[in-house]
Amino acid sequence: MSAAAFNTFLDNKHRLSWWELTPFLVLAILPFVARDYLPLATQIIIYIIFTLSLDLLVGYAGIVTLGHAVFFGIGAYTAGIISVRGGWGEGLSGLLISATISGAAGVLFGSVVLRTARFTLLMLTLSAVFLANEIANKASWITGGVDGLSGIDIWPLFGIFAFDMFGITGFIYALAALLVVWIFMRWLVHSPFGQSIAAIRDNRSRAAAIGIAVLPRLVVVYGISCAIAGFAGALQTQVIQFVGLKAASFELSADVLIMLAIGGAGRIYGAFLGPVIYLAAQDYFAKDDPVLWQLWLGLIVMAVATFARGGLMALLRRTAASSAK
Amino acid sequence: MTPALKLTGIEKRFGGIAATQNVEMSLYAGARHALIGPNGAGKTTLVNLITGVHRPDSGRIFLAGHDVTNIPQHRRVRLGLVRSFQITNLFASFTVLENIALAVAERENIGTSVRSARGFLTHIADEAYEIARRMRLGDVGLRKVTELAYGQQRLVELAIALGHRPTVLLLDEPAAGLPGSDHAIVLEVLQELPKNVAVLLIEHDMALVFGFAQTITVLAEGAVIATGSSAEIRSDPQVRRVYLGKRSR
Repeated sequence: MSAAAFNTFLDNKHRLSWWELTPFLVLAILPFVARDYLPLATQIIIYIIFTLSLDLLVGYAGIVTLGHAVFFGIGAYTAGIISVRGGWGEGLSGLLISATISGAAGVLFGSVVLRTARFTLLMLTLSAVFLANEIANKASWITGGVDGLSGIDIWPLFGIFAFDMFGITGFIYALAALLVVWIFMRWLVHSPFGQSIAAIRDNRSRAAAIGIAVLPRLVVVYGISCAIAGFAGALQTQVIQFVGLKAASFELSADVLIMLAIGGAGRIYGAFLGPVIYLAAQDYFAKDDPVLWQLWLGLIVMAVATFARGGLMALLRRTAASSAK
Repeated sequence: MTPALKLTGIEKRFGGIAATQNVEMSLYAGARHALIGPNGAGKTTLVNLITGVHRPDSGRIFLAGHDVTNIPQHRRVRLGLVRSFQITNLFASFTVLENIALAVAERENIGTSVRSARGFLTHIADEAYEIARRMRLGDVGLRKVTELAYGQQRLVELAIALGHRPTVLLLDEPAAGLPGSDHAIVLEVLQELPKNVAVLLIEHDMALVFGFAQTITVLAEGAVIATGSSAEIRSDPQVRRVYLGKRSR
C-alpha cells in the first residue's frame, strides 16, 4: 500500500457515479409520459428536499429531532406572508428570504438545544413543534390560523412562466430547486467539513480531542439544515399557493422521519427513495381504501424496519455488494 | 527554558473525594515522563484536568508559558496539547487512514473547509499515510477501524494523536487491554516518537514505564508522593510501600 493508493481510494469514494443521476433522468422524462401525475411528482420533490435537510441532521451529524417541521413551517409561512401581507410575489427572492429566516431560526434554536443530546434533545424538539403549531394557530391575524393562509399570488417566473393549472411550471421550478439543493448537499457532505461532521456523529468526545469545536460546528449544520427545510416549505407554499397548520406540525415531522427511515439515513439517496415510496403508496392506498390506507403504510414501514435495516439504500448496497462477489 | 507543560497547585474535588491534591509538575520539550500510581490514584482525572475535560478547583496549567487553565479542550489541542485514550476511541465509520486524516485536517485548520469534495485534500492524505506507515499501519490503512484487531486499534489511537504534531502528548495507558506479548511493539512505537515532543505516559505496566521513561512521577490518593529517575523511584521506600510492593516484584 502507498499514499497514492489512499488518494485513489478517496477519489473513488467521493466521485460522482452515473447512478446518482438516475433520479433526475426519471424526473426529467416524467412530464412527457405522465402529465397527470405532475402535481404528485411536485409534492414528492418538495418532500425530497425536506427529507434531504433531515438526512443532513440525522444521517450525517447524528442529531435526532422530532420537530423538523418547525423550520419547514417557518419557511412555508414566511413565503406566504411575504406574498399575502407584503404583496411581494417574486418567487426566487421569496425562496431565499424564507430559507434565510428559517436558517437563522435554526441557528438560534440549535445553539440552545444542541447542548443536550438523545432523549432530552428529542423532547425539546418535540415541544418546539407543538409550540410552533400553536403559535401558527393562535396568530391567525397573520397566519390565517386554522383556516390557513390563502390568496398567495406568485408572479410569473422571470416575468414569463406563469404557474399554470396543469402544474408544469411548478414541477420544473421544484425540479430545478431540487437540483440546486442536491448539488449543494452532495458537495457539503463530501467536503472536509462534511467529514468532520460525520466524525462528530461517530464519536463526539474524540472529535473534541482532535481539536473540533463540536458545538459551533453542529450549530452551523443545524442552521444549514433548517435553511434547506425552510426552502422546501417556501417552495410548497409557492407551488400550491396555500399554507396550512400541517406545515408546522408534529405529523409532518414524523412523516419526514418515516420517509428517511424507509429510504435510509446518511446516504443522500435514501432521502430520494423514501418520499417516492411513502407518497406514491399513500396516493395508491388512499384511492383504494380511504379508511385503512394508513394501516398499509404502517405495514410497509414495519417491513422496512424488520427486513431492510438501515433503509432501502442499505438494502440496495448490500445486494449490490453480494452480487459483485 | 520554558516548560512545554507546567502544572502548579492543581486541586480537584468530586463531592467529598479529593481526586487531585496540590499537583505540581513540569515537562520540558523532549521529556519522557511517566505517571504511575495504583488504581484510583487520580491519574485519569489529572489527564482530564490537563486536557480541559474538567476544570481544576484551584491551580494553574501552562502550555509553553501560556495560561490555558480556562480555555476549552479543542483550543488546547490547537496549541499542541494532544491526548490518546485508555479506552479505544475511534471514528467507527471511517478507515484507518481517514481517522488519521481527520486529525491532520483539524491541525491544518481545514476541518471547516468546503473547498474540495473528495473528503481530504491530497497533502492531508499523504501526511496521514506517512503517519500510518510509521505506526506500522500502512498495510491496513484502507480497512475500516472496526475491522482491525484490538492491538492495531491501539496503534490507530496513537496515530490519531500524532496527526496533530503535538508539542505535549498525553498517553493514557497506550497498552491497556493488550496481551504482554504486544507490549514490545507499543514500546518500539513509543521510542520512535518525535524527539522534541514532551510525552507524559500514564501506564500500569512497569516494564513499559521503566523501558520508556526518564522521569517518573508517582501519584497516590490524588497527590504526588515522589518524582525522580527510574532508579530513584525503584528504590524509594514510600513508593515501594504504596505501589510497587503490592505487586510483589
